[in-house]
Amino acid sequence: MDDFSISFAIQAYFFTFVISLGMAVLIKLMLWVIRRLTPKTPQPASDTAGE
Amino acid sequence: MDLALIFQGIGTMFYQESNIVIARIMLIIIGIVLVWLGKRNTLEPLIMIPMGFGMAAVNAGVLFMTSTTTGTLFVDPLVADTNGIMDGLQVYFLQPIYTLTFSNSLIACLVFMGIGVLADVGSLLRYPFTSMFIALFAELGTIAALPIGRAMGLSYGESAAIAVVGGADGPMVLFSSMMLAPEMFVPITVIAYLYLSLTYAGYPFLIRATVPREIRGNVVKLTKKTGITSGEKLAFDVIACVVLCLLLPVAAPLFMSFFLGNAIKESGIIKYTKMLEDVVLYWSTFFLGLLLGVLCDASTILNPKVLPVLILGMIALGLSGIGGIIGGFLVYFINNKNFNPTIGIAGVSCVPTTAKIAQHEVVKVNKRASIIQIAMGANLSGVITSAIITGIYVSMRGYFM
Amino acid sequence: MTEVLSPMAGRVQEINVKVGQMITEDDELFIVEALKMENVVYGDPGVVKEILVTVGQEVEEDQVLAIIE
Repeated sequence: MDDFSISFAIQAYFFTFVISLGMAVLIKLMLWVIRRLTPKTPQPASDTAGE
Repeated sequence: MDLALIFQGIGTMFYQESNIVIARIMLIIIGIVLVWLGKRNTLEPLIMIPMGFGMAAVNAGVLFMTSTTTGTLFVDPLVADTNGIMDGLQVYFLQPIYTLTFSNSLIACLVFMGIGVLADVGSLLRYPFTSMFIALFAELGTIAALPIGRAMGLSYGESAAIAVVGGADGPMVLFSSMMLAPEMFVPITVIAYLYLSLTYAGYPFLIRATVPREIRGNVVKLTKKTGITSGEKLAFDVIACVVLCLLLPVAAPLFMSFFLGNAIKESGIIKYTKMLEDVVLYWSTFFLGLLLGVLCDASTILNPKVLPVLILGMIALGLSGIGGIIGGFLVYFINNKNFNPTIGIAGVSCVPTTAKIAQHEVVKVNKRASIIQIAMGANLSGVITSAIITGIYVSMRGYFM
Repeated sequence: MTEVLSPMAGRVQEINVKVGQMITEDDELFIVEALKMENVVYGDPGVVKEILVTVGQEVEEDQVLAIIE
């Protein structure tokens, strides 16, 4: 296995790692922001209530 | 009365080279077998029945195009110049579908839209870190297959395109092989779809071999279950789409298609949802299978590089499965054994097949256990991480092509 | 009193219990069909107090299907 393709694959994986975990952080952030901004409603027991 | 000129399907067999003739006969047989396996549900019938039919028909229906060349009236995948394409569009009956939906990846994107409209990102939003973590490990095959492919003598483009098979997503393999290894895209994509159907058969054994029975039936105790609203899912679709398109514009068509599909589902527009679910998805799946079969004519398939594709594809999928289970085990240990490592295999993004396989194997051991929710979260993150890797591979193709 | 929840979003394919029925933990209470897969829903032992869904109804993940006492 030549050096370049291994380092290339590792770089690609590193970027994927960062972007994917970045997405996870983004998701948490997004949910936090949305929940802060929407007015408090009684927590529905299921997803369908009120939708 | 030259019978060879009247019944040209057979007549051409006396004219072509013997290896092509043998390949034609074998492909006819394989096509028939695929239809049969599709009917039996051993392989995914939605793809295999049109594909098998196409494969058998295109290898049987060969005629003399001129007095010295043979061909079929199905499609010409190699025509590239504008005049040639215009002529081809009027001669080959599937050419319009091929030129206008296949080579530009439109059909792959339509299938992705269909996947999006069926997907529920709720689990992904509820457990983003677990899902992404598992999905990243399930990409092990996609990453490792690149250097392994190079070691096998394939070019970067080919190795990368085959590595994407480890992402277990048919449309993505079509997309990446079109961009990274267009000369090989037929064998790579056909083999990818074949293997993806076979994961149904192979992965359960992988699970049973790696996850001990006592752990396989684990019920995962979840903390407070926050409901995720449609609005939140829609917001995620928009934001994720924009962010990923900004980072990896080469894969923007794929990203947008998936998130648009999901957005339509979450926005509650029933007419669009039904259109995507009932018409678009099945139309594109049907023609995708048909085109793939019809592209498998003997001369295209008789490429000595098909064997490495077969081997490397299997390596990619196998390593991805193992990687996913490793990821599953890591989460198991990190969460103090409150997890089921079987969920790891759902990170291999064959939606929803691998999630179903995980659920099936878990239920076999413990009928009360239900891990399908978390599995779907991992499944969908798998789609996203596969798309990210595909995007990176295609974006970086300037470095090696 | 416990709630029987749907394991995922799908369609109620079968309801195998009636209100007032005594159930054990091995009884298959519902079958929810999703992604072309049948998910059998079990509950804790008790008496079925209420059934909140009908056959053919589309349900959400974690939607309450029945209440057991």
